Amino acid sequence: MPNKRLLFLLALVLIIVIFIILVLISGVRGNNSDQVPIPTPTILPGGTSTQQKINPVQKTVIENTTQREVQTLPGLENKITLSNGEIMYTFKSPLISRKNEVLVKDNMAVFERVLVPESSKNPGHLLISDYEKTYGQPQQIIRGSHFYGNLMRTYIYADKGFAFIANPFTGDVFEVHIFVPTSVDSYIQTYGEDVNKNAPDGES
Amino acid sequence: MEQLNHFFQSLKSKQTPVFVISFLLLCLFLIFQLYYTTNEPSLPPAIAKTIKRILTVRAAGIDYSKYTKPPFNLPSPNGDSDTKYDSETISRANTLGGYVQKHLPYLQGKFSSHPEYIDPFSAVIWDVAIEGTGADPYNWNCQDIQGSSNNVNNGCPNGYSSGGWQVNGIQVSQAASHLAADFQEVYGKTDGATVKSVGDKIIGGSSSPKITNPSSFPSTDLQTIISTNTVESRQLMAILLMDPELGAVAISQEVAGDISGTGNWVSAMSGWGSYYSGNMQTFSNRAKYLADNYNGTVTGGSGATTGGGSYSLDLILKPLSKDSYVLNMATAQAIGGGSGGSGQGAPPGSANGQCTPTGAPPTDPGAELLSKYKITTQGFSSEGVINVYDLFTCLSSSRVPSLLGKTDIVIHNDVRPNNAGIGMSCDAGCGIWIPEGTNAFKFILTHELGHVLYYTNSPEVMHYADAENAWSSEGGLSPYSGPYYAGQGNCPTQGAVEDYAEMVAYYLNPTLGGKTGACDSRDNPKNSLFEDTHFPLHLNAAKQVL
Repeated sequence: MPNKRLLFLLALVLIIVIFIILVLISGVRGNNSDQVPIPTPTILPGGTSTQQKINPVQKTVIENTTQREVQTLPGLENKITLSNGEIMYTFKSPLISRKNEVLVKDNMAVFERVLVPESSKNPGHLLISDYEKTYGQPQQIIRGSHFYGNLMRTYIYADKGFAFIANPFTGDVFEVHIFVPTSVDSYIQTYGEDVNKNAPDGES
Repeated sequence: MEQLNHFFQSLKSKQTPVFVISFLLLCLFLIFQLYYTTNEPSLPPAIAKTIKRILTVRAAGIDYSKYTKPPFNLPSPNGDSDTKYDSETISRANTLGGYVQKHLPYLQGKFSSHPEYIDPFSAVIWDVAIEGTGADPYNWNCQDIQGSSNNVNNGCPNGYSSGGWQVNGIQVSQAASHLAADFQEVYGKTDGATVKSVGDKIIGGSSSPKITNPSSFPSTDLQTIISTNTVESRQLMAILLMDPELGAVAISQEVAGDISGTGNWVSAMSGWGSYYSGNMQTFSNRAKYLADNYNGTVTGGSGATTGGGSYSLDLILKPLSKDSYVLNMATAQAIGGGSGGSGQGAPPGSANGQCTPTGAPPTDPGAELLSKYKITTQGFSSEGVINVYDLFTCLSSSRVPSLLGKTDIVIHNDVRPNNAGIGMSCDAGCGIWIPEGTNAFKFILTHELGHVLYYTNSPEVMHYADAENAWSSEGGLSPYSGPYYAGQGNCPTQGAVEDYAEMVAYYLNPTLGGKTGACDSRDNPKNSLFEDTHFPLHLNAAKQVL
């Protein structure tokens, strides 16, 4: 019994400490505006790191933007906690059935999917050639997109931490994926759900 | 105590009710935790164990409505199930789902963009309600030998890549790419001894028939078995897939993979043939019955279970021949305009049934097509070339001519290479394959033309977002182009890309109702854009483009 009482008192002390911390944290949050500024790091020479903007409409910097920053980004629509502990945030996009997404792992953004604006006047609108000019040729190009069509292609710069789906006939980029640099196979396995390697060579 | 009172008093004075509530909840939680951790050991072990067991037994029945919504999209149950599954089947179904649940982190990790595609009960729906395997891990069929065989000992020497070889609802060839990883997940290693141990357990547990091909499992590591890729090694893979736990992991991925194509399970399935598209309501009724009896509890350990067993299902197994939709799509009909629609708002001079170009055709319509539209006809009769020319003449006052010319187009009087049916493709230029005399020639040609326009113009020019959002909001313009069709039950097969082509075809043929694809069972379809009020967003998008 005395042990129990001691444990109870210890728990109470712990509660009080946690409570004070919560108050302090909420105070800090209250002083901030709703909008957390998005980091705008310097583009590195050679462009071989994800610590940069791959696209002007990119919301995060991979392994730099924190979960708290992600949560305060505009257009947040949904949050799904995955069974492996990672958290998927979905954001408003130009398409109803394909949202922008940010995946958070260990409190850091590790993957982002951002849809490129359709309008050529929008600064976020980029062409395949824009990427090729800056980053050179992709490591791999795969024909077949589940969402955009059998003839669309995924251009993979896995070692630079990004890939995009685009129309090879017009050069228009539909969406960009930004992630921690990895191998092509790893990208396809981890984030390549839209890649349709077995797509027929055309439409019916 | 006085200090505590003071503390609570101070909280009150600050008027922070949210914090007070949070604080109290936190206190309750911690005190509960404290109570639990200090008291549990005092319970006699037998009682504690019993309580634990009681807590882990789940009541039967899950909310089935989830499966009538995206991404599953099965129709709402309507009537009783035509099959009442026996307790053995229910038990195996629970085991199947239970194993998927057990490996959820691994499986969802493979579909990290859409973890919701991995769902234990969807694997049960697939195996039991749709494929009719009874979730029996020993269920085996090869449709490529002897006109079809259900005896595993016959092997399946020719069927590996055909889609006609299944173990408990999964194609052996489809599982090959992830079998080793799945085995690693379930058993922790893939070395020869472990693989042999699992394989022998399966063989030993078989009964009707007893597996004798092979009579014992070799001690070969799994990677070697998979990469050897002989008839014998494939048979070994098939046997391993009979392991209930391994099979469950594989099945769940295949279901998720099927969903991931369009984000719509029913849409994907409906493209595989009439067995699927024509029985969705039946499947859903069966699935509801299963859902009412489902608890997801694994019976028995991993490894082979009770063998063949008996179950009373009257389903006929069909192979998952996903390529068949390509051929199905070669069928289409244009049916004369429903109830005399006016084509109100149709583009001037559009290619409807009333458009008859005036004057004699040019001396060389082929040359005209080439010079005006960069279109070449190949293999058509002179009358066929005139038909194509007439079509484009009718389209001359729409925006179509301005959308053409980005690339050369060859229209072939033929089906696509490898007998892939009517369709289109683009590379350096674009090709359309449509045999002369095809029913609804103009409707289908404009459908394929819609694909060409989609691929050869920017999304901005084609108002792709408007069209895609119309598809998301209003469903497909026809059953062919799901995700659902407003005019009747689910019969979707494709997605927004096909819907775009349907939009072009309907808009450019305003007095025609079109049927695209074998799954469309409508008797007299109306023109979805001009004779149906369900699609205002589609019509608006079409007007913007065309």
